[in-house]
Amino acid sequence: MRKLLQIEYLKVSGYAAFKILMLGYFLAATTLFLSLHNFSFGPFQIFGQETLKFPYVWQNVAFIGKFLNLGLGIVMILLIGNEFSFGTAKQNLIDGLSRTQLVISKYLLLIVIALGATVFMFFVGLLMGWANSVTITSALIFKNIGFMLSYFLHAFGLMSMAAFIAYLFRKTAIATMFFLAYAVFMEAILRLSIDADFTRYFPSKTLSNLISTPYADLVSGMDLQLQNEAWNEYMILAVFYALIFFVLSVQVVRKRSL
Amino acid sequence: MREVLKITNLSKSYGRIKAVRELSLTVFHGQVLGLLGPNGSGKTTTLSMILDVVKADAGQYEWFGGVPVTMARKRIGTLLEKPNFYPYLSAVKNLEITCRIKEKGENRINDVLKQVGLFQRRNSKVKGFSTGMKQRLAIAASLVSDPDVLILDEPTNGLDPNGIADIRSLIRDIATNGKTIILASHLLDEVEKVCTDVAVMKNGKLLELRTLRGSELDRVRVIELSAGSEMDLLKILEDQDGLRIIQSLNSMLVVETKKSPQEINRILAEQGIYLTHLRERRKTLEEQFLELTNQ
Repeated sequence: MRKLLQIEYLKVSGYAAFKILMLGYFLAATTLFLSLHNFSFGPFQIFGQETLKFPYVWQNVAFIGKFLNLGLGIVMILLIGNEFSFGTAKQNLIDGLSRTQLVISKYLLLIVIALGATVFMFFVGLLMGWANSVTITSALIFKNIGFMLSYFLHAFGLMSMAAFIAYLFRKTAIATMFFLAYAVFMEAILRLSIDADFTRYFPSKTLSNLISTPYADLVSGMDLQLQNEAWNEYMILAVFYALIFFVLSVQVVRKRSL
Repeated sequence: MREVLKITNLSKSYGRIKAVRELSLTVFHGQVLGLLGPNGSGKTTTLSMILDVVKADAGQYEWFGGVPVTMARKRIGTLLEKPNFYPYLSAVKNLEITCRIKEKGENRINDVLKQVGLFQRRNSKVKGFSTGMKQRLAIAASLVSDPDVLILDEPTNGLDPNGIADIRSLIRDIATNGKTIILASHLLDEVEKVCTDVAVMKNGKLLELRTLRGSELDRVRVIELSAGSEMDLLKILEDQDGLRIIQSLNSMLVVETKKSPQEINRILAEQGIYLTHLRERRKTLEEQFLELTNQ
């Protein structure tokens, strides 16, 4: 495990495109969060001062992060697509990694990236909550901290999906298009004709359900009755889907010639 | 002799094309085996299968008397088809990755880079390398873990004449250190210059397996001869038992025989034919190869 992570670190630490993309991700996130109070929907300020207070800030940060995670998925596709276009997946195999290890190393990297993004989101939430809250007690701060776990699971699940798509298509451009299309509208179209009780367990919907839409509550009640608990059944489902994508990736890599 | 690799009835098809047909071959410790064959004869496919990069349709292979292929690969230095590197990383960083995968120390990196003549460029990104430099780096990568077995697929591809000479002498040096080498090539003189044994492939089949250093080749002599009248010469030689004309070129005949040159000279002189040219030489690999592959 440690060896595989060290190898992945060697691969990405010298990769300018990766560093630029990750830096871009953090800059975009920071800018977005700094300008949140400017967003409005009709007469409603979507992210008013209330939403950026403890404990509500955690869900809002996680909710915005959910969309930014698409970018992390694309980073994963790029890293995996590279291994095929450079022929280095084959070379790593020839040099002595097993096919399963090839996949494990990318999933380890993906978990590390998801953890890094979660730590970043935690500090963003902490800073924004600090700046906007009038009363700050540790009980308030940590009340909805579970949304950070939701955010982590979302990043983990979505990047796992991206990784599987990358292993399936091997070409970065095709995989990226398929990933975005699937996550943004393909599954939504599929869901139209199928019963909702069933479709809310579809992978993209499951991941999305991890962090419910905060302003829907705002608009309906205006009393900030937010999803009280971050904990829900989708957390287990997200881990389940990540595992499924991992197993499928291993199968795809093991079955085909490199 | 210890068996390094034992291949039994290995086969692979791509659609209707049979790339490798029931190939069986055993490689022993210390052998430098040349895998020779025209383009598309199945050399690379065979090498890919024994490394489990390409899945075999049928047949088995066994490394080091039964070591699983994932473990075996760490003991094999391989250059397969074309060099594969992370273009945005330096030569040294790429080799560090190779060492980590092979679970070997990084202490040989500078040495192998010197051996292939890339030490000066060790910190340059691979994306700026020429084809020949990448090929040199690929050879360095195959050597860096100090493997027991080397598999080199067309190692001199894209190299300049100096590079070719360097790499050949490098391969010979490694071979004298007792390493086992499997060298696939379509270049005959390359195989002839560095190999102890040669396996000839065509259309996915193993046509012949023979040693290049040994008595077997010497038993059959190849003799070049010419005389004033080629017709008379031909007439007499055609009647001789145990003598085969393999080439007739520019009034010079090349024959394969067990008779000594003196004997032939005597036979011809008795018939009143005096030679203007008589030379005994080893049969070149090219002649053997063409003979085999044209059948």
